[in-house]
Amino acid sequence: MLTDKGKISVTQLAFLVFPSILATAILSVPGITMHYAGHDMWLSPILGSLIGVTVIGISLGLNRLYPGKTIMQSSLLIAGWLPGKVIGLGFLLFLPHLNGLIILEYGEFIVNNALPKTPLLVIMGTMVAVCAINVRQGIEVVSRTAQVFVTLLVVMLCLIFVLLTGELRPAELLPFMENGFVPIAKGAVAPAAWFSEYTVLAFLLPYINSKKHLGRTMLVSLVVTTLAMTVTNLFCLLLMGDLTDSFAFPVMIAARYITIADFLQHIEALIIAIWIFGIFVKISVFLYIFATSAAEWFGLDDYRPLVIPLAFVSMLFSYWVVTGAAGAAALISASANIYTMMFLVGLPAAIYGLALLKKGLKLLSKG
Amino acid sequence: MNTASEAEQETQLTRRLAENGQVLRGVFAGCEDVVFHSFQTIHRTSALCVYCTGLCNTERLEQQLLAPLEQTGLAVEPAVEGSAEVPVASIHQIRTVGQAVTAILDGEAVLLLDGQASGKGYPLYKVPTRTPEEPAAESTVRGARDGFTEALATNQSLLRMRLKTPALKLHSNTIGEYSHTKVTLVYVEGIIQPGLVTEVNKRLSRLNIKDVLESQYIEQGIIDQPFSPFPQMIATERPDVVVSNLLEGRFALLIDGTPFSLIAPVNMFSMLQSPEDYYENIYMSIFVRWLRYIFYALSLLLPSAYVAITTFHQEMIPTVLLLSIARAREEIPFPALVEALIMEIAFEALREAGVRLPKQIGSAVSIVGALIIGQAATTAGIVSAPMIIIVAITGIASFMVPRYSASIATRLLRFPMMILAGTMGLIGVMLGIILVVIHLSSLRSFGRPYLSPAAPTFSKGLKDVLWISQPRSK
Amino acid sequence: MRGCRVMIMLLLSSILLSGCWDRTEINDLAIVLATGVDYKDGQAQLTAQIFIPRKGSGGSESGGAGESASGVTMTRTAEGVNIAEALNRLQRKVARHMFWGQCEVIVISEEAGKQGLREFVDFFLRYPQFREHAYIFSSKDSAKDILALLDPLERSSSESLREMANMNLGTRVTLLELSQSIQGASGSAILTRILIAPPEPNDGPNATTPSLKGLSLYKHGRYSLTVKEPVSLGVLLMINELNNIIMPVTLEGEKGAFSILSKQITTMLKPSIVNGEWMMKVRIVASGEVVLNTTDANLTDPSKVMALKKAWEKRLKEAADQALHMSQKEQKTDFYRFADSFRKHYPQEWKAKKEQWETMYPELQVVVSVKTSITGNGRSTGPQGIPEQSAN
Repeated sequence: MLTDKGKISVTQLAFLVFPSILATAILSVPGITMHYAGHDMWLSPILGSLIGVTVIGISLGLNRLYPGKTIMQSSLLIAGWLPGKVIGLGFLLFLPHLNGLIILEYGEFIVNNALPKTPLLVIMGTMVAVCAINVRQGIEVVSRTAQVFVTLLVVMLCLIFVLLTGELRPAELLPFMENGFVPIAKGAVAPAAWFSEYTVLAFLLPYINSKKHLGRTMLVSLVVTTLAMTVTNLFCLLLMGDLTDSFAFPVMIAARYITIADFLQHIEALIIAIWIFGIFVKISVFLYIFATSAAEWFGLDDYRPLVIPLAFVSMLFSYWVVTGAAGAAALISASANIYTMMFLVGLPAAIYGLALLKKGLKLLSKG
Repeated sequence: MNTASEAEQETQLTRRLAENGQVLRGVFAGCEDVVFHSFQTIHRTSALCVYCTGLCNTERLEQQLLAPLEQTGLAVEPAVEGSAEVPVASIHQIRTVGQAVTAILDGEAVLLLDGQASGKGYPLYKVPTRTPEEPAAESTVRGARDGFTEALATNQSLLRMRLKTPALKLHSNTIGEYSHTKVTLVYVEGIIQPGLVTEVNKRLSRLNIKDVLESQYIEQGIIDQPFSPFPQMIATERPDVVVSNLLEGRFALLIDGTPFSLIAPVNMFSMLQSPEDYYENIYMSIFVRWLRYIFYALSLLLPSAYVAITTFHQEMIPTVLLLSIARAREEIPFPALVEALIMEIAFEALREAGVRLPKQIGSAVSIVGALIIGQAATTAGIVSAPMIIIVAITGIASFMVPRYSASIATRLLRFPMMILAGTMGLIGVMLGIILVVIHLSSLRSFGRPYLSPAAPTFSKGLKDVLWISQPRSK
Repeated sequence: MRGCRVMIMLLLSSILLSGCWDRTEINDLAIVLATGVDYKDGQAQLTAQIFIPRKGSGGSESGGAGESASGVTMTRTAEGVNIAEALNRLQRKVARHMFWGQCEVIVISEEAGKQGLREFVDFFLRYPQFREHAYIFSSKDSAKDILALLDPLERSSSESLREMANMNLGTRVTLLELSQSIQGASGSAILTRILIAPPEPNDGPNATTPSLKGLSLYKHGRYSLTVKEPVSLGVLLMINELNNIIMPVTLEGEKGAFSILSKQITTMLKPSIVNGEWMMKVRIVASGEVVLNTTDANLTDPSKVMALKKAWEKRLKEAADQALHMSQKEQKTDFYRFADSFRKHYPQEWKAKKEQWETMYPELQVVVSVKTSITGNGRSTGPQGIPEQSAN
């Protein structure tokens, strides 16, 4: 029993997932990976995408064993009612953390780069309100807006990259593997945390209308996401070299650096504006997951009444998770990655393992 | 029809002519234009012919109906039953008072004979009509020059002329408590999306309005989301537009009394397509179509983008341009937002003034507008020249939209956009765009998503949006 | 209809809010076109060239009321212990919000350069509005005086500087590139040096243009010396920035000289470490066109062209050697970022020898190889203006 009657296509699902990972990754990943992996940082996302493969595998596997059920519902069947509810509660407690963090990242970014004097509350509040309106319209509308905005986002990103090609210095790729493989792996932790957000699939897969090409589309989506991350990293590296990790948002610096014929310049406000589309989809997706999961946990028929209160809760959490910009940076870089991955990879993996075990036992007892 | 006669609607006609006559005279009391012509047929039967002078062709009535009955005695009663003797097509039986009233108001001549419990309706219409001419609001350089008229029958014929197939179905409903307007649902069987016809009929039957003076009355009542600024049906005067849409699986509503027909289900992109796109060279059409998309976006966003950039993101403006804007704005007393609002409102006022005036005076308005606002206001230092340019481009952009009703949405939404831009800069504009897109995504036109074929994507339809599908030889 | 209602609510609330926070009308901005940094009496001095938005100055001859000829820009200066404080004080001298987002040119005087570029670079890259793409110049005179110039040709001296940078006349260094180069392995930087061209006798003291002359070299982020032609040509050649240059070349056995307009000159650095022997190969590929021929030689003769090529090669090699000598022997500073090349191609070896680079560099073996080609003779073939009989 799903709390939303809407159905979306596999392509639309891919459109939803893409910005859910990339919107925030594009800002922070180049700096973090540069910090750890040096000039080889462009390899880190590729390594990190292994987590993406794992998570997609878990989500698809769960969906195959329990078709038409979100992970909240299938965990009840797998682990039993009480443990299932506890797992669900775990997700419910984690999701506002994640939402709050995303919202805060948005707010901080805008305050730092575009509207320094505007109160954070207004910036985050307007965005959350818009997202809540979006989420209330149901998964179909969420995915349609995602389609429109992701298309714009991709076109604009490509445009920036094309406009920047003249400024690139391929020599910055060297030295290759200056300190061996270990830094690359260390740098891969951050992208991996973002790739673990592919777990949204476990919540969204029941809404697709046909499973045709599901696995294939998801893999293509993963490849595209990895590619986008790698290209972003590469551009930052080739443009800024060693300076990459000295900037808070390297991509912004890259955007500021564009000068075409002395006319088109300093278009970072435009870049921020376009980026807002991406973060809008991301917040919407996570808010949607939060709302539907909560509705499922409480056993409601419709998630809509929960959207506004939960959006409010997410706002509150964005104030609680961290204090100050330094705090936000810490939370998205180091130990927080482990925390994120624990919930987004560890928990689903445990559930899936249990499900497989149960299935195996059943087969054993039968055979 | 007034409520007192509700009961009479179902009253059967009696065998006595006097009684029937009395009832009808009661119904039409105070209606000068309804004529009650009593006479005796050549066989000495009392007869009553009731008709409406303006709507009934009295010449034909005399020649084809009254003359044969009164003089030549061709109609041998009671064999009038067969009616073969009266040279009028599609005669029909009238059994109740209600039917008689409707027939008279439709312009038929109703003949009642003494001793018969049923009358006859002779459709001898003479509807005031004009000949089809090129619609003023939708002229094209190349393409058919005929347009719909106020007469339903003419409009139907214009369609049938272009689609000579029995698959073209026409089905009429009468709508309007007082106006009894005939609304014809037109579709092509086999092409129309299944289920649509029942849906439309259902919605039409639920309509409860007094009159239908324009197609908007119907549109407002049957669309999915009446509170949206975006049009959910195309209103057109051009039969070729209707035909091409019928062949794309849509239906059309022809409405008696107005040259505008309605087409649905539509999407965002069909609003931005002109019939001429398919009549001209394909590359030109693609170019023009993309130009239209861009300018449609501009007509919504340009003033707000200007406000946002000049008051929030000055670093985005190329240096030289910023310097000239700074120079132009130096003596302007208003903030950019207020300046933009004043100018846009002034522009809308000018436009409205120009539309309502007769053509001869209309040009005077544009002279006044151009002189006062364009020239005097800038030299007086009340409005900056860049702002005039912005408003002018926005105006041109909104004129580029081929469907007038589609440009209404951007004209209205421009103002909230400007306020958002004045509050949060480009971020505000983006939030505005997001809200508009959410609205468009949730909008449906007769169950079809408004943003299709872009979102949700249908690759086949998308081709016609980005490109032009053109006919190919086999 | 709830969405609609929420939308209207949002809008209504935003009407109330508009007019605060980040909104700044252009009328309230002092648009800074160029920034200058000086150092005087132990204090940092910051100069801003500010645009005066006066109406009707399209013809630029409107008033002549101000102290300036065209009156389009003005300068304001403030001092402080560091550049940030100077900026703070500068704002107190200007009645509008200083807006640095359009500042395309930063001039740093050599005097200020001696104090170290790091402070300035950090500030310019950290303070929100400055452009990463701003061009950096070094000046002999005080930066303040350069910004005070009112170029009769351009709208402002900042615009003339920017145009000059775009023409690739010197090194074209942006703020970001400067930061990269002083943070790189070699820690040196090269900036174009500007002077004030002496004004025409009838003009006011400020009605002149800044002119590019020579280069300022920075070692460890501090100004160390100025090089002028001909060494500066060699320096530009070594950092692959030599463009649009007309070089005189003499041929042996011929009276007079040729002048060659370079079309493209590319310099590549190829480090190599063979058996612990560090070596740098500098490969220069140049192509050019003859624009002046005062000799009797006819360039339709292939052997003459060959000789000319050889002579030009020699000329280029000399310039490079000169520049290398200055860098290696005189200054003992790695201006040409050899260190970065070694780090890129030999990361392990570099790591081992990093500390000794300072001592290794002056002794480093550098091999310069030049290859040239003459792509055209201009519009003439033989020498012009020589009577037929004497040419026979």
